[in-house]
Amino acid sequence: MLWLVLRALFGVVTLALAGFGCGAWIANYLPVTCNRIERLGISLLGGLGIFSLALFLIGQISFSRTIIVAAVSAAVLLSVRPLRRAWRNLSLIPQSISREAFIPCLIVLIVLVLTAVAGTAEITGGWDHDAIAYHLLGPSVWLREGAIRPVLDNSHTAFPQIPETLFAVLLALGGDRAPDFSSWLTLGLLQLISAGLAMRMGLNGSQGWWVAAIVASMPSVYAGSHNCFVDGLFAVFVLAAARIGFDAEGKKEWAIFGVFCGLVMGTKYTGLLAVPALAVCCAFVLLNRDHLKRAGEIRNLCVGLAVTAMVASPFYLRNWILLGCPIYPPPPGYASFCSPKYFPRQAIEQFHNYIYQRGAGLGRDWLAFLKLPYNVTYHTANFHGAGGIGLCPLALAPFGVVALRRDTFARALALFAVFLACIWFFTQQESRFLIHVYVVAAIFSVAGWGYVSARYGKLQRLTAAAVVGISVLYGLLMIIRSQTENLHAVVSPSFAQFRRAREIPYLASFDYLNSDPSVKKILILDRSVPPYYSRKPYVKPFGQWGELTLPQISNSLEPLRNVRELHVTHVLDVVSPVSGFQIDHPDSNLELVFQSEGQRIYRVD
Amino acid sequence: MVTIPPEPVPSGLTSKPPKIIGWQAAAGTCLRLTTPLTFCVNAAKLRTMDGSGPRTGVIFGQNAFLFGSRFSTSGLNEVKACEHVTATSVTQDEVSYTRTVNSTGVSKDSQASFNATRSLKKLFPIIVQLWMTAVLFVFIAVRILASGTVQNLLHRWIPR
Repeated sequence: MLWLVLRALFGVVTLALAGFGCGAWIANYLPVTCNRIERLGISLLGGLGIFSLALFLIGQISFSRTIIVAAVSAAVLLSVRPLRRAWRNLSLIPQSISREAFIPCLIVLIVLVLTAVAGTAEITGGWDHDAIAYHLLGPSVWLREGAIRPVLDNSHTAFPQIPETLFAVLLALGGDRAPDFSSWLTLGLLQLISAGLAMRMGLNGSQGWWVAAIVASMPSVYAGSHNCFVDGLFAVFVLAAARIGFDAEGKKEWAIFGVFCGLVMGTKYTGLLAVPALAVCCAFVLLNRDHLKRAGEIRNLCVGLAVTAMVASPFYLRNWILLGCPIYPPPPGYASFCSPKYFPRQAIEQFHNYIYQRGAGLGRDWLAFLKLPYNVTYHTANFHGAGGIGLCPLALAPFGVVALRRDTFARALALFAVFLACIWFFTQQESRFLIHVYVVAAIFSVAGWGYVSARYGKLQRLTAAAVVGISVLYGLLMIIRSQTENLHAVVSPSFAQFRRAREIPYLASFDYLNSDPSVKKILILDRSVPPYYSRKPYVKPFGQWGELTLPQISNSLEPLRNVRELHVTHVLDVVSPVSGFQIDHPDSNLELVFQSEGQRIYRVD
Repeated sequence: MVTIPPEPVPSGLTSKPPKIIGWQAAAGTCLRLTTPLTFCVNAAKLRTMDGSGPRTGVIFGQNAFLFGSRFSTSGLNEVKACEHVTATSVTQDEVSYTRTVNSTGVSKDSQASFNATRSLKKLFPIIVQLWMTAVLFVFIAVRILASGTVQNLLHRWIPR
């Protein structure tokens, strides 16, 4: 276990250094209002995105471990000088934490340490676990096949792949524990950017720490930022883009804004909606600026958007060329505009039904929209919210809005949050898709807390403190509860084994297939089997969402006729929630070599 | 009220937002700006320390006078708003108002405005208190009283 942890730590630290090496130059082109620590955080974040983008482009040609190591080494070398400079600069900043900041600092530390420790547990789960189904499936297949290509049996592996490319690097350098272990870095960056935004809006250092603590203790934010979910990273990119865009002046700063917007669109398809909303809010900020400079700045904003298109285009062009659709799998309303390959119409409908059902939330009428703050706060199990967002936004953020109502930056940020909430409300109401809005709400909450504490009496001060205290404690409790099993698995090898057996579907078969050297290529007949657990190449004729990976196949038994052409050596047949055994009478060329409960493996003779 | 002719106000006062030195000060304290603002009237754009929004105040040259208990100087954006004050937007009244404030500390205009809103402001603490208490109360009702453990206890004590 210690070796796994050390390897994961090595992977994450090396990736962070590589990211810093690639992004250190960004610090020179950030708005003057960014402080030194913020500059470091944004540089690291941008560097990680740029490094991922570069590897994604290289990976279209070749994605071997050698190439990854070479790219990482070059990027780490680039980080040496800026790191020394950053170290010198940081040493000039007072290191002590003020007394008011002690408690929020402790909360942040608890959450980060908890995430790091729990992140060293093995990721387990079935096809309903996003990390297993596609976030880690893609990277593990790319590393095995030596090129970054969508995995045809899971269309979600064609999503924009900035986080997944980083996961691939982590798998290569730090082993299979590194991707989840890296969640502390994502969470840390999210908290840093949140605190930076808060301080830009006039809050002081300890209030910045409180923003970080409230964000860290929001269960919904946490749920989307660990376990290889990419929503946390997406939110950091969005917030960093907003931070830069609302203060940007001159072409270079707008170009950096464009880079971050491109990274937003290269992380998740929802970025396609977030970036226009951000552009509108930036235009709003520009309209509030000196009218003499306005025209020039609008031109610069357009330059930034052009950079956005450049940074994001590789992901969409690749999909268009390989899969027939820039946005693949096509979302509702888009499918009729393109012809997606490997994805029959019936499967697309099934996929859309899933989106509609999953994202229905508590309705889409105006009353449901008005009730949203209440529902997000109290109906914590809805919106797949995993514990809600705590009490602070509902109880204190309205006063924060009052307090900051004349601040252009704050107004732009509030407008942006409202836009994003509207987009979310009318598309897919999944709580973790709204992390950036929760962060904005946390900032206004702390501003509201300060407003109430400074303006009103002791009773109001105490009530506000009680709201924050209960909210943070409740959030921490939910987070700790959600991580109990992972923590147990880390400290108890026997429980880790027990959980492995309980949560990895068809574990006995995968153990057999992974350990038998005669297994060269596997034919997986059932669409619900998660191929992430296979360490050997495989063919899966029917994908999770009904994708068809082989031409002219109408049922999963047809490939059995030409197993030799497919170079298949073994066939995995299982009883699953969607089907029973598919091979009733095996052909003469199939020999049953392994059988367990609901699992059969045939060798192809 | 003594009317003093306005000083000439240059348009586009500064290319960059002026930065205020200092962090916190008591009412009436003079702060120094790194960039001089020759004549920025109605500097009610400076943010208070408690985030309570603009306070009445004025900026003369490199000096800022605010009325109120405490205020933060980190809100550069608010000071930046002063850039928009040009000669055309400075009226004679505003100038005299500013000068009055400067000489006496409290203007008659601000006193009248204060009286008009005072009764409304008295309600705010009650509204704030009620709102926060309601949020807490509903949370306790929804998350704790409605939880399975408490319901089981209630059912034990109050048999159906």
